[in-house]
Amino acid sequence: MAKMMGADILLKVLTNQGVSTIFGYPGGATLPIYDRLEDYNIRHILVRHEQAAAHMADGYARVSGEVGVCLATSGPGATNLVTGIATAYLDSSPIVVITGQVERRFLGTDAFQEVDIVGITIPITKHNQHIMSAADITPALKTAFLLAKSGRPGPVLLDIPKDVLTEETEYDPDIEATLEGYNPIIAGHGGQIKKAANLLMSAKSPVIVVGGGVIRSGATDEVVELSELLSAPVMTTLMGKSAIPQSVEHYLGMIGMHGTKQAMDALKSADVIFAVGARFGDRAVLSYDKFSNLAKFVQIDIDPAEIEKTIKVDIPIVGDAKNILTKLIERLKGDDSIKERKRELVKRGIELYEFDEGMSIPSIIEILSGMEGDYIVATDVGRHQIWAARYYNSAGLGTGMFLTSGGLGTMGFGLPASIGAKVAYPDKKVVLITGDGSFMMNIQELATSSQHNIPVVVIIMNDHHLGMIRQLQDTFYDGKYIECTFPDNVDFVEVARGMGLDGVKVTDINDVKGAIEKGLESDSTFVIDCIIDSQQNIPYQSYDK
Amino acid sequence: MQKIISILVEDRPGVLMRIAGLFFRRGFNIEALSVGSTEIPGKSRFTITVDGDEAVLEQVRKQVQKLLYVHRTAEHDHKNSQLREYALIKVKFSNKIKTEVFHLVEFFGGKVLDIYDETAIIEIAEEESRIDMLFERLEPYGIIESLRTGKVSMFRGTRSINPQK
Ligand SMILES: Cc1ncc(C[n+]2csc(CCOP(=O)(O)OP(=O)(O)O)c2C)c(N)n1
Ligand SMILES: [Mg+2]
Repeated sequence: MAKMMGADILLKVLTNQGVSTIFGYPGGATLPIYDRLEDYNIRHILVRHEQAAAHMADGYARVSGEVGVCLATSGPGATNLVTGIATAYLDSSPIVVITGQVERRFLGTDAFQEVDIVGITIPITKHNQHIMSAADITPALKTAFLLAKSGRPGPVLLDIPKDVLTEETEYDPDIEATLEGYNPIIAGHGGQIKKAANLLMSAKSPVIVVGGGVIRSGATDEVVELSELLSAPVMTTLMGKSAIPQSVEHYLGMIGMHGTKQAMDALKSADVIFAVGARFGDRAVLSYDKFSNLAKFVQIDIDPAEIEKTIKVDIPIVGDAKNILTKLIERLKGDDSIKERKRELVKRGIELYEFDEGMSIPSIIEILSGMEGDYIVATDVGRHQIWAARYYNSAGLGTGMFLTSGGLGTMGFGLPASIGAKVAYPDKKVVLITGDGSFMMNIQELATSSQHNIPVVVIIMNDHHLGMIRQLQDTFYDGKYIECTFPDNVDFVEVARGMGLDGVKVTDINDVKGAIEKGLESDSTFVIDCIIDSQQNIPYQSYDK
Repeated sequence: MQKIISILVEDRPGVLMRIAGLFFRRGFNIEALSVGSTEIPGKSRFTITVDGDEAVLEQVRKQVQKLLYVHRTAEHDHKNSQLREYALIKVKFSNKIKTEVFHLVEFFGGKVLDIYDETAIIEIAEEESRIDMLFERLEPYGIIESLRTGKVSMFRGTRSINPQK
């Protein structure tokens, strides 16, 4: 067997895993990898900040379902990844993170750029590990890919000392991953499925609540079929946003704090709440006490630890959503009385909301929503994010094509995630809806997009505010606004120009559509700075109304 | 409520940190923890004693079960398991009290391990309550230092944490 250097083994295994792109930033500890890079058929996207490399890998993974890979050097390179890793962790996105580490003989000596990144990322990775010899690279990397992708997906981090990368060893491509203690449950328990079927058959007004798990599992068709079979309305969480086609008329929108009134009303009148791949997060549920008392609960989740984490569940089913729903549907279809259940379904109404006319965030989203095309849409975090989740209802929105940081709520996620998504789908248009606060948090990635020619249409909802903070101060602090206002001291279009891109400032709602069209036609990233002149807050839902 | 959990793990660096972190995150104070090798090569077994809300604890157990290096978790109680704890107690000692101390220790099922410099080291492997009692009875003699390992436990009958058995 041929001897190879650790760095070569790493690149070879990555290639064999089908990795075509790495998002990364070099440093002393990873230079052995960079030195060998040109011999492999892997595209390296040189980011401008490691956090963005993690978000790009994440965005890539979310839209493609394939593992996204990012690479950073030891010490500050590794710690810069932390926010990106946590973001992927909380939204169950499959990424593999590779960090360089100081040489083995310096470990634990506070050597230059040494940081215990494995220790730091234990709580925010599905798994992580040190690789202490070149011979361990192949099995560890295979394990990492398997873990990241299977069961409940999530980030896996591998930390590799520099001298392991230069160590020579025999390369055996056939060494298997070591996953002795790992066996995610895929098929649901037959008895539980039967119980769920019986409960659903006897339910008068069942409703279906869909989370991000349905996207990961690819169970959209099954959910829609089940809802039709039961004449049950469907709702999603924020993470489930693009799990149900907008064309499904009994899809009632989003539940939760900023969800739709129709969804809330449906929940309140339900006798069975059937949750698929939704983890009952606090923002979706509002009050655990009140939510728990609404109805009986069936919960399907691939992660046993999600069952009853926050809500008592009558019938839990652990396993893959698609697998379980297929069996459940089969069982329900076998019951003749199912046909008598056909009921009039509530249709999604045009919601009676009144938003400010002119340059308001919802008006702009409505315009975007009405434009034809199957765009990938990403958001950042803030009021613009929630407006987008509520009102971006284009029929062209494909499953999994709405990217948002739901669990961690990471400002700065949007631009790099959009770039990652565009790398996964070069033929699709990517539109980013961002805020003036969030955009600034990873604005340096405009340079990455410009260098590598990865075009994204950026719509900045520039309200000169940390709008969500303003809303919170309105609601909970008597309108006392502290540190939520930005002066008009940044010209985003000029910033874009300064990084080799173009854009336009828009101050009239009648110019929005044209600007977006121009962006969509552009073959480089186009920044549309929408000057918002409304400070309208997002309505809250509650159980009392 | 006090719970005793056994965890069968791969013997890898950092396993302790991963497990302890999950308990810590949900606010559990680990009352006792013991770890050592098992009959399976490369596998260690933790016994963890914690006190707290049962539902949350069950959740933590599921989280622990998700760790790659964790193979099995199991919960013990007085009915399904034998529970034991080990203690070392060093007391002031003189020939004057020799007979009573030896008698006491023997009665509770312990053993005098060492006598040195007017001190005696006593060991005992027993149920928690009996160790408590011995401590109580030795207190008057003056305890110089002591330690307890925390509970270890084993299922009664054929049940085993070893997945092969
Ligand atoms: C990294 C990070 N820091 C702070 C916050 C808290 N936060 C949530 S929304 C928000 C304001 C976002 O402002 P902007 O991006 O302009 O969006 P807007 O609400 O104005 O639409 C802040 C500061 C966060 N979510 N993420
Ligand atoms: Mg703003």
